[in-house]
Amino acid sequence: MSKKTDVAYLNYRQLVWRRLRKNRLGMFCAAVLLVFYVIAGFAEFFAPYDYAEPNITYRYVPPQVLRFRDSEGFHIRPRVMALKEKADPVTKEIAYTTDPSRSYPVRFFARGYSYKLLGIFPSNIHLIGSDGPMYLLGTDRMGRDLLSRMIHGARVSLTVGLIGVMLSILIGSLLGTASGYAGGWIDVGIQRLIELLSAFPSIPLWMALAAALPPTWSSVQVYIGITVILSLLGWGGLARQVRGRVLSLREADYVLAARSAGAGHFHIIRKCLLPPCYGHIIVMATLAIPGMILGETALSFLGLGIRPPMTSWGVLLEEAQRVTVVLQYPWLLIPAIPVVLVVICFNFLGDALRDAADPYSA
Amino acid sequence: MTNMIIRRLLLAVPTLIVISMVSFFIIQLAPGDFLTQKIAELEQRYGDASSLARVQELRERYGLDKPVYVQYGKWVWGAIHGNFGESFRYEREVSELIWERIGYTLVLSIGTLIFIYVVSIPLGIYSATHNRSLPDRILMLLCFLGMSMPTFLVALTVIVVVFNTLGIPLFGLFSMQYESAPWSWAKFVDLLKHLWIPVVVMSLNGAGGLVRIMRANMLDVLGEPFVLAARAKGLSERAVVYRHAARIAVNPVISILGMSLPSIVSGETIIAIVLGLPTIGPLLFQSLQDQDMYLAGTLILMTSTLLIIGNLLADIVLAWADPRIRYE
Amino acid sequence: MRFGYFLLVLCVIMAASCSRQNTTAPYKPSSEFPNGLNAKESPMLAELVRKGELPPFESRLPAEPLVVKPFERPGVYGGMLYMIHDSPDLAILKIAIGYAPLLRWRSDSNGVEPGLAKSYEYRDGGRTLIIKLRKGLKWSDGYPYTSADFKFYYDLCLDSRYKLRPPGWCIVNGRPMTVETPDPLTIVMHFAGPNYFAHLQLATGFWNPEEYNIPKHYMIKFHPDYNHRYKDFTEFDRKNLTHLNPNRPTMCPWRLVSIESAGSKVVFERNPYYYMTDTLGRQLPYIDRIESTLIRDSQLRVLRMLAGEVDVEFRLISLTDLTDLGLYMKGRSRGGYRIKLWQEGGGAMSAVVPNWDQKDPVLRRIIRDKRFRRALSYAVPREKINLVVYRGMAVPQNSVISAQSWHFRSPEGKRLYEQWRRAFSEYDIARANALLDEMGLKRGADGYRMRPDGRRLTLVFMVGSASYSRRENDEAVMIANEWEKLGIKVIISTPPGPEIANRIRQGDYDITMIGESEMDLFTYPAWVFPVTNEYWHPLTGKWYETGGKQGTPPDGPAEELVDIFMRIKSEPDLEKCHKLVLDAIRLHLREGPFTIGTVGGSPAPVLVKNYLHNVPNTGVLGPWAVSQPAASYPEQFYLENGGRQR
Repeated sequence: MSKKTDVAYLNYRQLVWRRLRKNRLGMFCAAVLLVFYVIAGFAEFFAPYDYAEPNITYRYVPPQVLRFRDSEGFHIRPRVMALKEKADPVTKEIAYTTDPSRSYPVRFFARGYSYKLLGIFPSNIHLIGSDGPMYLLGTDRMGRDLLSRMIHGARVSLTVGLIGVMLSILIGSLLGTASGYAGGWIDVGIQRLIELLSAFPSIPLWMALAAALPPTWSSVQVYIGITVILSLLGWGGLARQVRGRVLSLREADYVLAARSAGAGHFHIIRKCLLPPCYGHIIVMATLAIPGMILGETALSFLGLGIRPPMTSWGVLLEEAQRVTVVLQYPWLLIPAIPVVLVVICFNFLGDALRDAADPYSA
Repeated sequence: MTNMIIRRLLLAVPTLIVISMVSFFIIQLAPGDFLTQKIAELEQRYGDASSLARVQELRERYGLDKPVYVQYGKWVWGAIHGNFGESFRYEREVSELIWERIGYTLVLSIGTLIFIYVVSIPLGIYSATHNRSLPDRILMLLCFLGMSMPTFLVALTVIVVVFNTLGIPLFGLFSMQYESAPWSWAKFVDLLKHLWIPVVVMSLNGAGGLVRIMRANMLDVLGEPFVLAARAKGLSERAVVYRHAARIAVNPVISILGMSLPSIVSGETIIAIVLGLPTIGPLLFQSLQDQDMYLAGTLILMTSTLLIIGNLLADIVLAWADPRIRYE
Repeated sequence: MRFGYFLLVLCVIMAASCSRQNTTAPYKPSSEFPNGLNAKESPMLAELVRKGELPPFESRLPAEPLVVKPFERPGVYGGMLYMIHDSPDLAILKIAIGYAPLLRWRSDSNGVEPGLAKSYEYRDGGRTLIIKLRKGLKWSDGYPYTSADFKFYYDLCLDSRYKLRPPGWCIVNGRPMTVETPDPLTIVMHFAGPNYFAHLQLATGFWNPEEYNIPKHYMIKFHPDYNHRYKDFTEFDRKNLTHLNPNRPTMCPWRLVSIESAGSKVVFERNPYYYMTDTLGRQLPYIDRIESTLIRDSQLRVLRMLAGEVDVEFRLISLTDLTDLGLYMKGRSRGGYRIKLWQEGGGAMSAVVPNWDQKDPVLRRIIRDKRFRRALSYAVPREKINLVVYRGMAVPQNSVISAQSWHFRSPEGKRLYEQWRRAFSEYDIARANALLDEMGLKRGADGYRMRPDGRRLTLVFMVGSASYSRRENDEAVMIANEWEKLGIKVIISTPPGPEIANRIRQGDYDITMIGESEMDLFTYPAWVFPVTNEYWHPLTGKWYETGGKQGTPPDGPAEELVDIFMRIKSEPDLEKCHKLVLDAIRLHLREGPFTIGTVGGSPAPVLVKNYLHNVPNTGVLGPWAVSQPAASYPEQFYLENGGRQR
């Protein structure tokens, strides 16, 4: 019998990992998220077009479907159909439909616009490309490829959410625990602080801060600035939750036992009070990340978020916030899907982590 | 318990003072004031700069040329007498503007809140007790969908789709014919017909999140030793779940109730703006954009007061529900 | 038990929201008067006359009413017109239905015509303006409108206790005018110097007429000198607000009767003493009532218009851009409306405005070099902008004022305007680069050009954010893209809305965008003449405005332009004034462009329900100064079958 793999000999972290691995849904979501982050990291490679270059020849093109069969028969390599223009006589709108007579092969590792991989290595190879227009998710009002914009937008949306949330969690759990455990004036003080901070509706703070930031900051700097400040204000919810939990647990039997056995405060906090909270903390964290991502969409909606030519999912959704879009160009609403997906994945992952982090539960 | 309540109420007063001061200063943070904006607007529309002289007069009249603390003092003095100042944009009393909207705001927000809790708590309990079953998984999926929807987009999309397919314009809270008619049963029914879109859209985020939290709490509590003990004692599953486990699991959820009071008043501002509802949220947002100081300051103060009351209520309920922490 | 409390709270809330509603009399649709078109007044008023509550028709009209020729045909009385507005100050309604000036802008914007006044005359080389009122004018409560009302207004202007000041247009050489009223029908204004534009100002916008039409007989009740109950003018001011006080008499075709529903709906009713008639002698307006709803969100407005809930809309459709035009066109049969294409009257939407008074001396010298501005202009992708923003329906051109402006009506004017319009508007990157090379702006190692002081040539492009002004933001992005090809580094900066105006006024910007839509340079000279604290000449203009006390003095071409403007101001002959304007334009061609154009002449869609008639098919809608659509006589719009019944 190998002593090392026996469950009884594994430490907490290894136990957690074992349980996590067994949760297939959680692992699947983790994998999906990993894919998202990789794509975001190497956005230029994955995106067939430049996200900022306006191309007025192909405005409001509906998504082009890939086909394997065309007028010339069956192909192994997928092909994208050519585009046909049609002008509306009254409004002079140009609508695009597929031209079944021509099609272009989709090439992999094709040459496209030049960029610098990771900002260092110049290249112009992209994952997919084609000889003709290939807008798999359609284009927007300036003829920019939606797929490329979504990929580049992922970069901004995914990273900024993480930073803000991590900060929030740190502050929230620390202060919540201190508040619940110590009680007395510390508790009162921290509670007042939380109340004070949470008494401000976020909107006025955002607006005031947006106005106060120097306009010479690049758009990303501005946004990170605002997000950091928001995270400093968003820890209140978590702190309250942790405090509630710690309050309930403070008088629990095993804590009393530990205390009467002579354990010091920090030992009690780390070993007895915090572990049952991990589940909460992780759940709150996974609930907060989507909140951050959705918060970014709200900020962009108010005009305080990412500024052009930078793009993020929030910016894309703000541009889609029009009756004309919903009724005439509904493919521009597609960026809602990765938002939802990422949020769901984070939540499932958080669930899985929560289940795994509580090895004493059934 | 009464000690705690009294102590908290006393503490509330300085808190409110600090909040009101800070909110005033924050509104001042943005460069310029309402009048610079008004000038900008006048110029953009009329290309007219000669109204400048009159604006300076207005500035003096509203006291905007005085330092911030003087303006604050004036406002507080008026507030104590029940006069919260005048809105620059609407040119009417702040209290009037708020009073007109507060009815609808409360109806909408309390409706949403009730909807969320009434729906979420039982679903959360059900989901926890039927952990990992198919209904549980479907429910979780729906929750995630609800939580991750960018709600303002949903609001617009729902309205447009409803309008396009059913041909019924469901904007605002009333149809054209009932808007200024006196109250009647028909008007109430009309209100309900319009209410369901905002309430459902507003609850999506909240309900999704709350079901998950409730479920997580229940699962935690169901794993506790005392639950095992209760089961061993022979109590029915129903008793275990509802009388014992749920009461404890509901605690953190209730403390969130306190935190959601500001959302009652600002009423999911963005959605209310998109749906054109006559509530407080859009008013607050516009007053901030306009730097309409007295209006914005009063609204923030109101929100803060509600929050403090909400927290207090939440703590009271917490203490009542969980006897273990009653003695503080 | 808790549920019981909840019910109680709910009832209280409902009770609370019931209160505070001004109930208006229930609306009874007007049926066609038995005499059809022979009816001289609305049945609604005829009913009141019959009951003795209103004087008969003949005594309500002035001795010489203003006769309006209906656009299509004389209309029937009655109906309720449904409109929308975007701000509680009702400005967008006032520019349509709240216009009652002494002199009116003509509907083709080619000068002014009599309004409440029946004639005007300049004497003493433009130092005196004599206005003669129509006989028998009455306020909406029946009280006579005389010159005493104007004198009352002007006395308030001179009263330092009240917020009104003498209006800018009456101040010459720093001194305001004096006003005499020798008899109830005559107003005499004496200016400190020749002031030939004063009569235009009397007609401008809705704001000027609104300001000087103060009902003395009503407002005097709140004047502290006449009613010692009031210590100051606070109550006076509140009662003087036309969009908030239904009891204040007015001269406008419709008067405010109620504000309802949390301030988001306003109702207007016809003015029984209105001074216009149609060609058959029937009193205008035709439409009995107007109801307008406040909708601040632009997408909601789109939905309402598509749903056919708005009877007529002029300015709010083209407020942003033409993206929604296709939607409106498609929804015509479902919504029951038609779309008329008026003219935006925009010379450049939006113009790219470099800061002539840029504070950084090196950058200022570069900007003042006309080769730099021409290079920037040659790089603007006008065709692209036209397609993206205006669906190709606008005209790529230089930064000019409105094509319909009356300065260019003469043959010479027309020719010059064409020249001006086309100048510097070709898309030619090579030529632009050549100009910059000629200036000596060499490219550095990173490809960007260097300034003479060795720093990189950077322009901070200040525009509204994407949600504040998407059109301008889009245009800026496209333009910045092109300028990068010239080796200029462009940073797009999006401060909050009012902050932009602030910075422009203080001269703290490099380049910005401003919509250029101007019909008359006499009342609003700023696009061509650097005489006000705005646009491309904030500091030079400030110098002129303050008489030299602040700002920077003009030099070079700016000084020449100021000279021309001063000559115009003291020139009595209108034709000579127009000629001087053309001289200024020639200077712009020689030394300009001072502002860079994108596209202009775009259409402004106007939505008109099928049952609303007599709405003109064209007009210039852009600049507010020429009071459209009020100048197109909304009084003669009429509803078929009462329009949409409630």
